[in-house]
Amino acid sequence: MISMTNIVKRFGEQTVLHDVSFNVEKQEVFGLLGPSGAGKTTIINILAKQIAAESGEARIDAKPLETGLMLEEDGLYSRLTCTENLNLFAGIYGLSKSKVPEVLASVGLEEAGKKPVNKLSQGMRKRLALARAIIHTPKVLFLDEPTANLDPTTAAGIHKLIKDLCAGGTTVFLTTHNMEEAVDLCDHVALLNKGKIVEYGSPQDICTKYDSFKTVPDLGAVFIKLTSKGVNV
Amino acid sequence: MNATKALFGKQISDFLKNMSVTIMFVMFPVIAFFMTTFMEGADAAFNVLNFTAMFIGMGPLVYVANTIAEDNEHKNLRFLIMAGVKPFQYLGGIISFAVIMCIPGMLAFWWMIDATVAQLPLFLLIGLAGCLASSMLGATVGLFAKNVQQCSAIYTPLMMVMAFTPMVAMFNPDLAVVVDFVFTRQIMLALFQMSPAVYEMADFMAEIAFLPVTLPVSLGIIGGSVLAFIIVFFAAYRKKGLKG
Repeated sequence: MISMTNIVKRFGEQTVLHDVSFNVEKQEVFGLLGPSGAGKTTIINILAKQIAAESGEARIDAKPLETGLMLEEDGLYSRLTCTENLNLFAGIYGLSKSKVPEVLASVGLEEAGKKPVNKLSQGMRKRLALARAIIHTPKVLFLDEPTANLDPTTAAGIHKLIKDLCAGGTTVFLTTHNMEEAVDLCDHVALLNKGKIVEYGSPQDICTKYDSFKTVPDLGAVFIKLTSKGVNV
Repeated sequence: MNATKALFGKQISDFLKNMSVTIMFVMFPVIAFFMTTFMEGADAAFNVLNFTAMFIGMGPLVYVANTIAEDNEHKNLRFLIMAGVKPFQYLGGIISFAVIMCIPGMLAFWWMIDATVAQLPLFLLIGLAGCLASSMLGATVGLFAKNVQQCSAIYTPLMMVMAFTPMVAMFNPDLAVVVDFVFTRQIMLALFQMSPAVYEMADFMAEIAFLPVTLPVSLGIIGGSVLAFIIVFFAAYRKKGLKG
């Protein structure tokens, strides 16, 4: 459904992605893990055709209008209400406005429809950004750190929604720093460090490979081991 | 069409909640109205048309420039483009909204200078052509600005030239050599010719102007400005693009 083959990306003199390749199957949740500055957002930007790579091929088996995007910067209209923000995108996608309350309810914002975005908490803004990303039931959904800085309850709600979307046929590509989230949600993960993929597989297989289990697979320990200084990548 | 319609609807909601911009479209007709209650004849008409020039030189320019810069800064534009909105649908939605929002103000100015109903179509045509020129200039500024702060730094000097030089040139005819080529000045002179008070002030207008005060001259400069600003905008668009 999504593939990257030998992608190289440079910003000026600095090479930020070195020969990155991976595949994401239809209806799976794929997690791209890595420390800050590893190149995760650059990969999303290349896949979303926001920037071009120097070489290699990035492919998504979905039309641009069949993808949804939720980034760290939410791009919501802060003076408008939640409903008005979603009405705009419902209109752009040619959907009925009657879909808006339904989508707001799916992210737990049914009571906040008339609230201006600048009066929402950070968690509510994230949920609204997610609602905007899924309003047209995309085939592919890109989520850049969807639960960063959220309380556990809100994060759990978003996890449930991601699982539901996936069960409904959506392929989810997410980046995260949260290893528990990756174990809980992802069918496959790629660990990215300094622009290179240093490990790829299911969270369980990776933890087995590095013998990193506590009571549950401890992907966090593998992450630290692979991304800390002095690791030969 | 879906996108332009949806953006137009969004502009209406946002416009009503953004007082700092909304006031530009309301302030000038209201001030002009109150000031004319203390004047009559040619003085009143000149006063109204000074405000008309300010309205056209400031309102659409600031609105369009600010909207694009704000959408760029807050990454709204990026999500619109990701949702399949074409740059020209986006710009078309904003510019057409700005021009349409000028209509109530232009109608108020038309009423205040006592022009006839028969003159209304030409009055609106001239005024809205000016609003289009001002909007295109605002769109060009918006393309170059990375954020709202930078945007206001760019549009402020332009706004001063468009809005205030027509009035300043009335007190210093030497400036007319330059200012007569500014489209807002020609809008003021063209619209003044529709006022019944024009007969009282014909000699004065000839004295303060460098170019002949005739409708064809005014229309030529206004039309030329619209064309020039459209060309400048396309050149800027080719250079900078609109990617969000």
